Parts: sequence; C-alpha cells; structure tokens
Amino acid sequence: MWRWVLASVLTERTSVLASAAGVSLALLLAIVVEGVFAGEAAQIVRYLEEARADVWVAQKGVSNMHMATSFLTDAHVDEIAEVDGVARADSILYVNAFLEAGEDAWFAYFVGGGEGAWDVAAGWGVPGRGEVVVPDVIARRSEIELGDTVQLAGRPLEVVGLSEGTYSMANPVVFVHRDDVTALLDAVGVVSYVLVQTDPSLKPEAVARRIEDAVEGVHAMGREEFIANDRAMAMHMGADVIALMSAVGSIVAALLLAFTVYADTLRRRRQLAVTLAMGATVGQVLFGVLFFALIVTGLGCVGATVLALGLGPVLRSLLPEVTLLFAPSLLGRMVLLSVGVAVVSALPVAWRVAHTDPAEAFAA
Amino acid sequence: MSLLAAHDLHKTYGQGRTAVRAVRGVDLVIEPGEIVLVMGPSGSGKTTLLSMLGGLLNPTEGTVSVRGQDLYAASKRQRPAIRAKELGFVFQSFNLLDALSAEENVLFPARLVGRVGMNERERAQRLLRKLGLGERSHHRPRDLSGGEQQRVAVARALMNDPAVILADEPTGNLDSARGQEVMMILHDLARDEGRAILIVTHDPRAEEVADRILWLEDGMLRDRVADDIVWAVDPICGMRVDARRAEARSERDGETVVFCTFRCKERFDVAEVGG
Repeated sequence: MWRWVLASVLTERTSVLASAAGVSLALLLAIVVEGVFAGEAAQIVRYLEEARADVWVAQKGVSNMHMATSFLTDAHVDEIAEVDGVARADSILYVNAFLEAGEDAWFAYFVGGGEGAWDVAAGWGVPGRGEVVVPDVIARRSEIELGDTVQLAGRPLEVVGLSEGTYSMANPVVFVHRDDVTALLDAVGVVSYVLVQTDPSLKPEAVARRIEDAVEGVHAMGREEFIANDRAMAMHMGADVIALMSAVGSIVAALLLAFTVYADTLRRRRQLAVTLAMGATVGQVLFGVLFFALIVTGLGCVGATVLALGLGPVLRSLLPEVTLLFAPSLLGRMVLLSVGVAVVSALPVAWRVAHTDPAEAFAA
Repeated sequence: MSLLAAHDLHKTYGQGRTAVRAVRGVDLVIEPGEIVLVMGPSGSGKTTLLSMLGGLLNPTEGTVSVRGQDLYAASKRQRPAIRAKELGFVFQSFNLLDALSAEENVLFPARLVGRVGMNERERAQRLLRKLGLGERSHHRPRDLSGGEQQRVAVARALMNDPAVILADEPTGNLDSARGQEVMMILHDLARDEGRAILIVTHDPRAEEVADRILWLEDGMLRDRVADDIVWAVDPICGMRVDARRAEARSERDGETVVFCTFRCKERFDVAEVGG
C-alpha cells in the first residue's frame, strides 16, 4: 500500500503540491500569529531581562512593573545597599505616559535612572537632563531623528539616542534622566524600584529574604519571579487581543488543513474503494489514507517552516513594530498540531471508504 | 465441486413500506471452465448481485460459497483475504491505479496478501506477455489504450490465481474490436485454465462465448433461451443486438432501429440530423 501511496504522490505532483501549499499557508498563518504572540510575550519583559538586577525591590504589596506604581525613598536604597549579600543597589523612577512626536502619541514606559539602553542604534544610550533615548521603531514610524524634540507630558526632550530591542506593542521603553521624571511627578527623593546585584556566592532569593527582613515596607523578589509576575500581568492586561488572534489563527489553520486533507482523501475515494474490492483490508485502506495525509501534511510543514524563516526578515522590515519570534518549540508544536489535525480529518473519510458501498468500485 | 455457488440469495434495502427488494431468491452454481452471463435492464439488481457474489455486500438472506468456502460465514477479517486469493474482479472502467505502472497494477493484489518476490514478478510478467502487453509493462494507465488497460485489469484479476472471475461490463468502454478481444481472453481463461467466469453485461457480443445466459429482472434470475432473442444489427458498429430487449432505440422512416449502446444511438442521431 505504501508503494502505491508514494507512487501517487509522485504521479499527482501538481495536486499534492497544491494541497501541501494549502497546508503550508494554513500553518504559516498559525506560525506567524503564534510568532507575534511569542515575540510580544518576550518583548514585554525585555527591559527587565536586560536590566542588571538579581533582585528587584518594590514597595510592599507591589510585585511587578507593568502598569504598577511603586514608591520607595532614597533612604530605602541606602538601607538595601547595606544588607549583607547586596553587592550593588541602583534605583529607577518610572512612569507610564505618552511620548508625543509631532502628530503621533506613543504610550510608553519612561524609565529614569539605571543604565539606560542596552543596545544603541544611533547616538548614545544614557540620557542627560532634558534628553531622551527612544526606540528606533518609534523613531522610524514617527520620522524622528537625533536632535529632534519630543514631549513627555508637555515637557520638551531632545532625542539623543535611538535604542534597539526596546519596542513592544504593549510597552515600549523610553529612557530619560531620573531628574526629568522626578520633576514630572514632583517626587523628590522618591524611586520606583531598586535593582540589586547580589554577591555571586549567594542565591538571589536568599538575599531577597534578607532585604525584606532588614528593610521595612519593601517587597524583594528574585529576578525570575519578578519577570514572571510582570509577564503574567502584561499578558493579562494587554495581550488578550493577541492571544485571541493567535487562537483564531490556529483554528482557521486547523480548519484549512482539515479541509485540504479531507478534500484530498475524498478525491481518491474511488481508487480506495477499488483496492478494497480487490481484497485490501480495512487496516490497509486506513493506513493508505493516513500515510497520504501525513505525506501532504509533512510537505506542508516543511513548506511552512521555510516560508516562515524566509518571511521573518521581510515581515520585520515591513512591520517593525511587530516582534516575531519563531522558537523551535513553536515550530514543533505546529508540526504536532498539524499531524493531529491531519489524522483527525483523514479518519472520517477513511472510515467511509472502509465501509464504502461496493457499487462505487463497480460504478462506470 | 462448483467454484461459485449462491443459494437463496436475497438483498433488501430499507424496511417496512419503503423496503426495496433488490435481489430475490437467486440460486446460482458455476462450474469450473464455465462462462455465465447475467443480463438484464438497468436497475434489475445486477450490481447488487455481483457485489454479494464478490463478498462485498452482505446478503439479507442466503449463502455464497467459493470453492466450497462460505464467504459470509467467514469473519470480516478473513473475508478480504478470501476475496484477494479466490476472486478476481474486472471492472467496466478498468479501475487501474493511475499512479502505478501496468506491472505494479498487476502485482497489487499480490502485495495485499503478502510479500512480492521474484516469483510474483515473473508471474506478473508472464501474465502481461500472455495478454500481449509484454512491451507495455512499465507504462502507466494513461499511456495505454482502453483495450490495453482492460487487458492489464484482466492480468491483475488473475495475479493471485483466483478460482472465479467476476466481470462487470468488461467491454462497456471498448470499441467493437477491443471488446471482442477481451471476450476471447475471458473465454480462453475458462476453457484453458478451468476458471469460473461470471460476466454482467449488456453487450450481446458476450453471448457468443457464454455457456449460459441468465436474465435478471426485478431481482430474480431466470434462464434466457435462445429462441427468445430476435437479432438485429446495430447500424453504427455492426454488432448483433437483441431487438426485443435493446434499450437504445430510434425511429427512422417509420422503422425502429436498435443499438448496442446509447453511444451508438447518439452517433446515429447526430449523423441523421447532419443529413
């Protein structure tokens, strides 16, 4: 039976390739939507991952950064720096606000203090007073150049740097001088978070417990815990639409794949009925149908992977605000999904063929 | 021992008032070397009968045995193997597998029942040579003529050396000469190799090679005696046609003209209109 199936694949190259192309497009749709979702999920916490902090310290009761408000004081920073196991303590003051550039307004994180941008496309990454470092994606979209002036809540700031890897649809990160945020919030001596680097011989979680024991009114978390909290909050608040798009994309892909396999099997139904009449067992017929469906799906998976990898750079240049992330696990998941869908969609037809009216084989 | 026997075979579709009795009480025995024709009008139950004789459709009542083995007493798992080994099928539209060469088509039934080795390949080649297709064994069906395709189908039906050949309109898609050729092949298979052959057909050419002609009407089978036939000649292909039972008819100058098939009738009508 497998010989016949393979020969059919070679003989019916055009229709097999057309079916595989259908499967490829369906999978590509799912992969791209999932890739956007994965990219956004990664990008949302990119700042937290790039910041040099083994432990994040926030106001008591605050456990993340996205859309959160945390107020600590410079005194807290000094106390934390004195805790045994703390190698270094830096602070940032941050606010969610609109960056106004000409006609455009971008909702962003304004981070004052810290080490600034980790990857600079132009200019420099650590702004002084009255200066700002904006994501290169925003600069491209709003046609901002170095030396231009943008507004933060009516305060003019000169663009001195363009950063890479700081844009996400939910929370692009803009770097400013801490004094500008302090002036905006009218909060002298106040910080939002303390970024702690720990003694390498100690576990960050252990140092976090020590900080909470030693300093009143703070919540200290290891880096991984803080990032996980932030990602969960960001996805909960801002990524529902993307998650919905991803689910719809996957469902559409599954339906398209199911239809392609179903139509393909139905097209070969007559010949399957003939093999049955000649003495093929139901098992042999089912094997033939599934084998064919899996070959078409396998070709579709290969096509989708190649297309996704090829289209990635093109999409990134056409839609710079969209971060695509094609992780091997995503592609693996898509292959498993497509194989499952192929089997599920081929089985009803195979079942019908296996229990076919023999008149189909005798029909003129 | 008879090679194919059906006893009190019934097939009813549906139940109650809407029940359709497609086959009613058919008794049939075919001996080795015998060619039996089953003829009858469309809808008479020919395909249903053929399907039941071929082990493809469970009868409502009755038995079918091949070489003494009751087809429907065998389990559903065993039946495909019996079908593959003991029964050969020849279809009207050839039903060759498009993707396979002539030789691979012939080998296909052998693959269904086990491994294919040198012996099977030699047998397939022998069958193709015997049917005049030795040079065409590596061609795909689309590269073969209708007659060649039907001969490949006959070779395929013979591959597992079955006792019984069931042929459904084997000449239906062939011209006169190719149809005659296929009938002679079936005739030789019965006479020289002792196979039992049952042919369901409308083609009067088949009558010339048949040992018995059975008439199936309203699901019931009866012998058709020779003097029941009024022969006429199809004006298009020149074939003999049973003038009483021919379905394809036309009127010309007040006289009834009969044809072997509707295809001949269409060609006749077109020629008439064209003058």
